[in-house]
Amino acid sequence: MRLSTQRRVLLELENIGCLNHIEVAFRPGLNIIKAPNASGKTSLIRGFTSMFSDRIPASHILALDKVNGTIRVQYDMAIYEKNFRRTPSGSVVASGDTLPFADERSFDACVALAETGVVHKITGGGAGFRGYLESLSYGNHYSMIISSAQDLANELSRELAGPGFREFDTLPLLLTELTNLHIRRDLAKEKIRNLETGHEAGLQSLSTDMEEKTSVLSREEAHLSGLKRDLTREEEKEQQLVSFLEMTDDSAKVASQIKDGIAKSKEKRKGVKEEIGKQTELIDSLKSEIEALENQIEQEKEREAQQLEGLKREVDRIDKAIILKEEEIQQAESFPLDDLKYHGRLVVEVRSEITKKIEWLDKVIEHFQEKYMRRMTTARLSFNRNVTKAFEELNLKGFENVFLDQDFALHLVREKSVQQPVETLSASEKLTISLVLMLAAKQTFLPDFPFFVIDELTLSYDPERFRKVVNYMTKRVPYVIVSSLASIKAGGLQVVYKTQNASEIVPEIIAS
Amino acid sequence: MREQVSETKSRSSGYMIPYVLEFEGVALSILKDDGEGKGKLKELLEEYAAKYAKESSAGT
Repeated sequence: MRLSTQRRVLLELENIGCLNHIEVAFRPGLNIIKAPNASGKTSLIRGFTSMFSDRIPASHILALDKVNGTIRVQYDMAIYEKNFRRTPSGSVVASGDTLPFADERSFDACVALAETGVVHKITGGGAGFRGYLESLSYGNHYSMIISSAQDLANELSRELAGPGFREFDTLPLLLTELTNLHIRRDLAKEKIRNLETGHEAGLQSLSTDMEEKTSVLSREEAHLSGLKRDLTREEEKEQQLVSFLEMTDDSAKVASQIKDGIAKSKEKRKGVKEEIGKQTELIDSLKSEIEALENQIEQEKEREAQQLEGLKREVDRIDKAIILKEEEIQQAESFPLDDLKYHGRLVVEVRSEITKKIEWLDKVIEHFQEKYMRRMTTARLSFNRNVTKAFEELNLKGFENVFLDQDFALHLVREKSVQQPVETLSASEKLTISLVLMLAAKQTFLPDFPFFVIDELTLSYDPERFRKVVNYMTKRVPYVIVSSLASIKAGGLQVVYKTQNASEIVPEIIAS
Repeated sequence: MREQVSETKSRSSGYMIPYVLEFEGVALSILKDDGEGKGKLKELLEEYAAKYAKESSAGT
């Protein structure tokens, strides 16, 4: 936002630093805050800075012996107020407004205090400026995204190597074991079927034998009955013949025939008895054979039952082993139901999901690394251009070129292309470099920011060089604020104005 | 369907990265408000990574 450059900026401080109460006004152009030591120059500048940047801690702004402090800035008919409050624990909390052009980056590019990054770095002999340009160009945002994405990708990779996924790796072996159990069960069942079929055939054969023998037995028993009837008839016939003989005279012819008949009957009866004996033996043999067959059938049935029982017990054991194996597989396939993160989900699904997440993160990392490189290269090149332009326009003797290389290291090139390390510069040259770099940074990244503040950096500065730099700034920045040490005789803090065209310094003391 | 997802073509690598434009807008906004917002950034990354994973699974 472009601040109106035609208006005064009124600043009022209460209980800030060593200042109980002060009001000052800044005008477009150069504003010199003149005061003896410990009069509040730095307090005033820090207070004003806090209205557009939070870089200085609130505890460094509120007066040490006060509980409350206030800063008010008025410009363009609007008042912006920030309050500082000390809590019972001793910490200081700031709340309230910031100026509409506030930007955290302004502290690094537009406020030259001893603790400002650039000044501190260069005066300390440091030459690496990657971090500086990162924060000014917002390249640090990309590097934070990259770092966070890398952290998350690493975290997910570690999770894939964790116990839940390791158990999943045993799954192929478990599945093989399950398959083997199924095969064993199928074989056992086939044995049962074969056994039942075989026994059935065997029993059928025995039963057929028994039926045949039983049939033969029936026939033979019928034959035996016939023989017994024949025997009875012959016995009856013989008895009749004996009765006839008793009634007949021995000398009669018929008596001889009857005697013959009785003899024949006895002979026949003897033959039948012999046959009955043989038949009885045959029948007994048949009965024994039938009994033996019955026993054999019973034994076969019993043997079959035992074998079947054994096989069925084996099938039961295998069934139980299958159930256990399936449970084991389910445990390896899925996370437990009470798993806080995955609640019973399939491991293969979760693994696929995590792999996809890592895939996306890798793409994001690559994308933002490219953006970061482009952003930082652009920032460095623009910054270098503005640094070169500033040195050319300032026409500062002694420096041919000042630039950041591809590693963001600062190079100082003297006349005749002689490189000079930063740490070997004089204090005055270090300050000059710091201010020019900051101005170039402001031109590159915050061209519309209306202020440039310099505090307590003029003590050992080459006056001529400082005047050149400040005049250069005044032409490019609407409000330049510089603190300057004054003698005690000069009195309290005062702000002296010098515009571009002013030939005299116009003093203005509002209040103290 | 990939057409329904915001994509950014990476200039140098030249492949499409689903959701990265959306993510970038939200992430930079978070970081601008809170320069130390690494925790929120991580949550955001998890959210978009999960979206991508879900879409990829649906598509396969």
